[in-house]
Amino acid sequence: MATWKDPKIDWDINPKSPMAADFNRIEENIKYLKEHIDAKKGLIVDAINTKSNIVTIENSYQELANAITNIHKNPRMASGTGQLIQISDSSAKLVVAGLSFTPARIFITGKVRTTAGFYYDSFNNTYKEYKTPYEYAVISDLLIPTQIEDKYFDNFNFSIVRFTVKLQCVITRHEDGFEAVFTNPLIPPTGYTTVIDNYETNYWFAYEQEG
Amino acid sequence: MMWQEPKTDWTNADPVRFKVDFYRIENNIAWLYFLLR
Repeated sequence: MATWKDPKIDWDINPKSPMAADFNRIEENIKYLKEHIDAKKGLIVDAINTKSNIVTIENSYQELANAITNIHKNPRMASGTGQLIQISDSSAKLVVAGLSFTPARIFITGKVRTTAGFYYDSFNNTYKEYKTPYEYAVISDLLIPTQIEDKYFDNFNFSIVRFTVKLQCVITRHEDGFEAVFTNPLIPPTGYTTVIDNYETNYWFAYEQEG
Repeated sequence: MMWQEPKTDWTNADPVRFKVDFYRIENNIAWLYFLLR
């Protein structure tokens, strides 16, 4: 890093033959100014490009100001439908790509069937799995309802078995889309599997960051 | 016009090459003016 040295500004009233120290001061001060412009103007350039990659350090300050004024004044949006892709028995993902912007706000609706729980069948000495439909919406990265209640009437024991089932969604954003991974976190008994199946069409909406 | 790395290791024994050294100094000042516009 260059260090600033006060320029000699009295050459007119105090002239002398320029020496190495003078040239070093002049050139180091030039270097200092360049480093500071790069660093400080660079902060503004980087901040703008975080929103939208549209300026470089060589743009004028007026152009940077114009970019800030106009950036994402009209955020882009896209919508569509998609099918879930199975990742594992208990997880599936919706992949959206090819957007012309990085999505900020994402909304998804869809429906699956998933394991609500396992109940013990004492007659057969085994577990039986109960599945329930789960209709969901993902709003601001939160899947709702966060859980649903369902119940099963056990004919054999003449009793009602109640279940609370949860579905979770984690969204990863990409430059041109997003990936939403749906998981049922239910831990099954040993030898059994929690599943998500019967995928229905997902409807999604994606919006660019405003401002 | 483009940035040229300043020479900051001048010694009194170095000859001043006007076409090289002054060109670099003035060119770099012009580049700073460009960045600050």
